[in-house]
Amino acid sequence: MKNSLKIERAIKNLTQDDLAKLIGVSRQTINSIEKGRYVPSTVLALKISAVFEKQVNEIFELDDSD
Amino acid sequence: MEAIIGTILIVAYFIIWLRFFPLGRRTFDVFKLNPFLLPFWWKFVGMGWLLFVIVYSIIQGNFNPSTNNFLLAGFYFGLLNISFSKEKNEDEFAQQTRMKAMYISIISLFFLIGIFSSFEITNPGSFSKSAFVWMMMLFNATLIVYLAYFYLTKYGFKK
Repeated sequence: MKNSLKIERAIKNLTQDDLAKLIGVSRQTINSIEKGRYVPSTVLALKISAVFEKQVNEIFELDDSD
Repeated sequence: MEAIIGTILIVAYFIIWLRFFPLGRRTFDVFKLNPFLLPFWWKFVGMGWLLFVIVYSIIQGNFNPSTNNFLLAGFYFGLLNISFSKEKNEDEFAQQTRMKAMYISIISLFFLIGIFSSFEITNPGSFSKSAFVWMMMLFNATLIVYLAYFYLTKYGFKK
């Protein structure tokens, strides 16, 4: 699964730590999502989309391998 | 001294063990079992204990695991406390990584038992004559695999 979390974060001028605090996870979790090592649950994806005020599928999209 | 430490460990094991039972409520979601882990600060109790075991063994003048049962049993207790303490932020990533680490370490345990049992065939008595030493080495190795997988994955050293 691909995601534009890093870009969205840059637009909002948020660090990984800021975003982690906003949605109540660790900084390592944000880092793992950005690098594609971890696919978040629906709940976490919805929390992320709420922070960036976008739809979930605008931030996360399916990859060819999915 | 060893008798006192041994008794303290027996009592501590029973108290800690009870914490892992989800008393009064049933759950079939493995990730929901994590609230029953030990608190975050307990990790430092485990680290302190490991340090004590190492220093005590050095004072005893015996740092050889095959002849020092205290070193083996003490290491196991310390590793157990570190392994089953929560992270500062025990989020869904930590919970899933914990479960994967548990899965990998259990598979490692089965293969290590296989390797050790093969030694018993090639060299009869090598395992059974010192079963305690081998058993503790097996379980310490399993916990080390668990901790290594968990922290390497969590801090992104592993794809």
